[in-house]
Amino acid sequence: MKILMSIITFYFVVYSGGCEKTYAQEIPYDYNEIQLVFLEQAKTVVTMAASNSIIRAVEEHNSLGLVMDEILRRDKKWISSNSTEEFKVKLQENRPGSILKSLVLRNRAMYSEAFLTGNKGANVGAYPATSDYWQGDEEKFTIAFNKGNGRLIITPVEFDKSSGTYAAQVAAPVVDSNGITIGVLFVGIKLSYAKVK
Amino acid sequence: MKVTPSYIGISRQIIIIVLMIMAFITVGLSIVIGVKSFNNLATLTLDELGRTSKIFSSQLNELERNAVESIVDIEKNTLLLNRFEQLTNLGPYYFSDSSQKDIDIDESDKIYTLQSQLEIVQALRPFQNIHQLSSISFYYLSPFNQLENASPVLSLRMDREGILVGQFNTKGQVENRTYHHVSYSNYEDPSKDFFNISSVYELTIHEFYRRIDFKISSTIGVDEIFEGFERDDIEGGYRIHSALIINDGLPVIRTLAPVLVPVSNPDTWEAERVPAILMVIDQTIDEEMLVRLKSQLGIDIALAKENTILVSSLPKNESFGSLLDDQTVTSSVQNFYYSWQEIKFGEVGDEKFQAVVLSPISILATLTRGLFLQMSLLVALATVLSTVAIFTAIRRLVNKPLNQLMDGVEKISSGDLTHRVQVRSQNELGELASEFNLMSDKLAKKSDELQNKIEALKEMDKLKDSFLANTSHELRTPLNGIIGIADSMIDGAAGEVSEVQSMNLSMIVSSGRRLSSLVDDILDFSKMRHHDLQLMLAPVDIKIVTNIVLKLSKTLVKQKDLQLIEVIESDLPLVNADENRLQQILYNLVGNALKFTNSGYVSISAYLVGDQMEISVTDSGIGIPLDKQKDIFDSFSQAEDSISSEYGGTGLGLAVTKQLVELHGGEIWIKSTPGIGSAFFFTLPLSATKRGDLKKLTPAIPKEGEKIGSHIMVPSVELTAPTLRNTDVKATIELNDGSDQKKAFTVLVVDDEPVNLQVISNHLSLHRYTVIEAISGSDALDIINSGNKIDLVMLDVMMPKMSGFEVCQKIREEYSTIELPIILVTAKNQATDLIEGFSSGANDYLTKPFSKYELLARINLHIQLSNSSKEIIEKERMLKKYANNLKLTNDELKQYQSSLEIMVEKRTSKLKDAQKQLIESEKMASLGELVAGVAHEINTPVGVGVTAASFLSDETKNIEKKYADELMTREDFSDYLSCSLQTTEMILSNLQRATELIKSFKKVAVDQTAEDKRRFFVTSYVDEILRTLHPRIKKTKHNIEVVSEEDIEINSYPGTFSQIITNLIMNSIIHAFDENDSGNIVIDIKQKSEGIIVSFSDDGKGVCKEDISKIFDPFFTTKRGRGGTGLGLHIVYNLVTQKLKGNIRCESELGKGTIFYIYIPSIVE
Repeated sequence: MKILMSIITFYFVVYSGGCEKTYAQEIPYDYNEIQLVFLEQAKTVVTMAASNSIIRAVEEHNSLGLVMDEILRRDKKWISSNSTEEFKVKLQENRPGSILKSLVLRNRAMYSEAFLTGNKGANVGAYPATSDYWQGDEEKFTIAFNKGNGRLIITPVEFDKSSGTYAAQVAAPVVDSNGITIGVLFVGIKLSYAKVK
Repeated sequence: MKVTPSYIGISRQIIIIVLMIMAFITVGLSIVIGVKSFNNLATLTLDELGRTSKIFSSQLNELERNAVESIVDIEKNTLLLNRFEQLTNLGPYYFSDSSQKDIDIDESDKIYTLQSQLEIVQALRPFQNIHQLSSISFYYLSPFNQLENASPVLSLRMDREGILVGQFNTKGQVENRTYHHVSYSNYEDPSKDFFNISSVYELTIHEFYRRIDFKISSTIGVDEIFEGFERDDIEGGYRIHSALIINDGLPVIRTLAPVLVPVSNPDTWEAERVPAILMVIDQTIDEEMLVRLKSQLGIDIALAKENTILVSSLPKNESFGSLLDDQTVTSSVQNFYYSWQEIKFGEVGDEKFQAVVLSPISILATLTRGLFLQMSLLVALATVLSTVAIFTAIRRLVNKPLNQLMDGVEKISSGDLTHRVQVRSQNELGELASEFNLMSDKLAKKSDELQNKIEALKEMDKLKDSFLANTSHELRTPLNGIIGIADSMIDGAAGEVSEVQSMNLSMIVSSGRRLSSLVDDILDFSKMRHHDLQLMLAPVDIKIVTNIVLKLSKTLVKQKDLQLIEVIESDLPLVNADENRLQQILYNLVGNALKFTNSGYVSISAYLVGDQMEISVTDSGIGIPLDKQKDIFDSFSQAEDSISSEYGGTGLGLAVTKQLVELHGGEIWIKSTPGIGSAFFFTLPLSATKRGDLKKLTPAIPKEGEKIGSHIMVPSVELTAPTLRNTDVKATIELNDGSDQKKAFTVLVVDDEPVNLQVISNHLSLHRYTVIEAISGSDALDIINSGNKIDLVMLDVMMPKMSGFEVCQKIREEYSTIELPIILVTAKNQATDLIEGFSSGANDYLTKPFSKYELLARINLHIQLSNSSKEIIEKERMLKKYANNLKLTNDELKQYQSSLEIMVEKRTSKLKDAQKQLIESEKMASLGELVAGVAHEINTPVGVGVTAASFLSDETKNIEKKYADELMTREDFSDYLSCSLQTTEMILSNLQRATELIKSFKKVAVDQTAEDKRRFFVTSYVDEILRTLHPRIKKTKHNIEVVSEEDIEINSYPGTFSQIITNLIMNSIIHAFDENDSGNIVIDIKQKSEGIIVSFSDDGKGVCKEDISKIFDPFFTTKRGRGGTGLGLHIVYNLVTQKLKGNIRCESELGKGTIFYIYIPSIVE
């Protein structure tokens, strides 16, 4: 079902952004060369995901033991609120949020966004504020998290509404000292940067 | 090579010249080089400076390129680019993100910014050091105008002092910037952990500052850091460009480069690559930098602007003036040459900078001096080397050929005309050598021609000689006739003559004798001039000779009031002289004195001076001027020409006298004062014989009409009571006294000349002789055969049809020498004639002209000898008759015997005397042979000389006459001079030739007469003997050859040896060959132990065996009556065995020839 949903979501995204898709299609690029830049950036993301601050923050988040209902409730609230919502700002100003914010701001030309999720797909930190609070229903999370046996993925380039740019997302699993994937770090890498490079 | 003191070799002369030239060149070159080298060096230095300035300029360019390279390298550095990206993207977004407005920048971002900047510093440090960059600065350019008033904002500067980093304190205001400065002395590299991105949150700002030790300084804008920074320069485009500017008073190479960075466009949020950062690199040209560059260039350098030096590598306290146009610049310390190069970096700026290179002038001067010294040494060395080369070249090219030429000249001049010079050089010397050789060829050819001409002349000389001899003979014969007939007429041969007639006849006689004497004088003179006169040297008492001469000279005194005085001590030693010649000398001197003395005295004195006798003849005559004295002994010279006309004379007398004295080995000289008198002195060598030994020998006192000396004719008119001493003459007297029979003897006189017949006939008929005359040989033989009793025959040699010799031989076929004595009469005074005469069987010889007394004495002697011999034979016959037929008693027998012995002894002694005379005659004949030969050779040059002198005399008279008449022209005088020169040369050359001829004859002739022992070379001597015999040998067709391997020297009697060889040759000519035969005579001389063997061989008739044993016996001859005396070989035998202490033997075969072997010891005791 989830897989079906993901596919639908994927197609929806693709479809709903039809006009943008048309726009996106107007930007020609060499896929292979771009992919190399993305891979290069993926290393930085993996490194970041393995930093103690990130792991500790995910462990603290998971230890809260948020149930699914609570997560879904916060997700509805997230989608309906604007960007200055305290709830959203808090997730930018907590420790992992400020790290991600600093990361994005220092590499403005490179990154479009960055956000960190716990083991259930709920946001731990994000800059700028993501459109959803819960990422668990998205195929990229389930593939990257892979039920605690996480793996790195680079999603196809798609238009990011929050930053208004085309970007590809690198999803890197956050792995604890026992080798169990406890969360996923997402970083959006601008297609324009890759092209400049 | 002859070397005289002034002689300098040509090579040395050339070398001296070359050396002088080289010295001049050296000095000149040195000066030129000195000046040139300084100038050149200066030019060189300036050129070098120019080049160096270019290098310096390029070094500055290099610095600029270094900066560019740094920029390129920085742009390639990924880490740096990432950091630039982060720094560029971080700040502006803080300002552009409205959500962050008025919020402090995150602590972590502040730290991150500082960290990044320090990281950049760390990465850039190597660039700064490697490329010698003074500073590296980065400016934020706000590409999307994220910042208001976006002038360039410095965010990083790194220089030699330290690091300056800047950050924004708060958002929204550009001005609020804080700069943190850290000096290098305080700086520590940030640790790697420190830059771990995740560890940023573990640090606080405070902690960070504490670690790095930043000092916060006041806000610094761009203008405050860089003077003259142009905004346009910064925003000038996306390219690198450099410019040289003045910053803080120092020149700086400033390089600007915008760095392209991916930046997020705030409008689109998309990343774009834009020039977001300006990188500025400064390279300050300060003293330190220049010193560093100087260490690479090795020369002082400076940087100038508008001819003013801004900074130099020299110490700061050395301040410079401005750069002058003559490329010199003066500092406060010293003067420099300089060269500059304009510096161009792109097109920025109007200011012109100059890269200057400086060289102190003092260094140049030192260099010049060194160079000058080196060049001078080099030139000197080159001079020496080139001199050596030239010397060698001259030696090879000039000296060697010259020496060869000089050798050639010496050889040619010493007579080697075949010599040729071998010079092969292809230059003038080679030419010279070939010309020289050509000349030698011509010379040799000319010499040959000359030799031929000489031979021809010699031949002509001989012809003249014989002509002269014949002429004199022809003169003598008529003279003899004139004198003889006149003389006999005075004696009454043609009946009584009146007193007047007698006087006239006497004058004819004396004139004839004078003429005869003159002819003889001339011949004598020429003989002496050519040393052809032989002296019969013997011990002579000077006093006796003087007395004889004075006695004879009395007749010359005539009517003059003169006294003849003899002042000679009677015990003076004897002199070694030819008595006759000594008489001639004295007679000439006295005669000369008498001639020029009219009154007073003429005296002869003699003194012993050293080991010589000095004899003087003094007179009180007219004397001789001093200037004439030296010529007085020259032939044909008299003191004055007028004298000859006044006193007469040929002018030969004193010349003959001088020759005679010198021939004796003495000297003659004169002392005279005009008007007072003259004294002639001469010296003679003393004789080895003591006075006591001479007693037996008394000098002959001349008889009337007899010649003394050579030609002094004793005048018969004045002669009274001749003193008789000759034994033969005594015999005549005895005969005269003891016999009253007139005309007891008959003499047959044979002569083709009627005058001669008349003369002899006149003389003999006045005495007791009956004369039968015959006008030819056949006539004479008829008279003899017709049975006339004839006691003696006088036979003229020179007769037509049948010669005297032939007649003689005919007579000897029937009559022996005892039975019919024959006296040959001839005008020819020649040894060969004598020999032929004796070999024909003649008993004696008379030479025309003879005196009547000599004639009578000879005839008397031979008739007596003949009669005595006949008597002895008769008595022997009688004795035998008595002994056989009559029995005589012993007493009677004894009486007869003793009488016989006495008679035999007497006759034998007479025979011995005769034999002695014959041997002496033989010797004289041999000598005569020589004399005759010499006379032949010498007459001609004298004759030519006389003719030439006469010609010269004529010419002189002509020119004198012309001169006196004032008709003489210059041409006349010139002709006379050349003529007289030629004539004189002719006379001189003839006389020289005559002298040379005589020298060779003298040796042999003197040896024959002197009989001294001496060392001589045998072969050479034989050659000389053959030369003297040449006149005789050339009449025959025989060939005489002398064979000898070496010229052996022996110590013996050369005269004896000469006589032996002469006799052997004559023996061969007479006996071995018939008259027209041509044969060979070989004289072979070999060394044998302590002597020599002379093998004398001919290929003539040979001698039969019976005769060989008798060949050396006296009077043995195969040619009796045909030229052989039988004494020649006997004398040879005696001379070899007794005189030379050798031995001789003869081998012969009939028809094949005869050979004599003679051994002569090398040294005769």
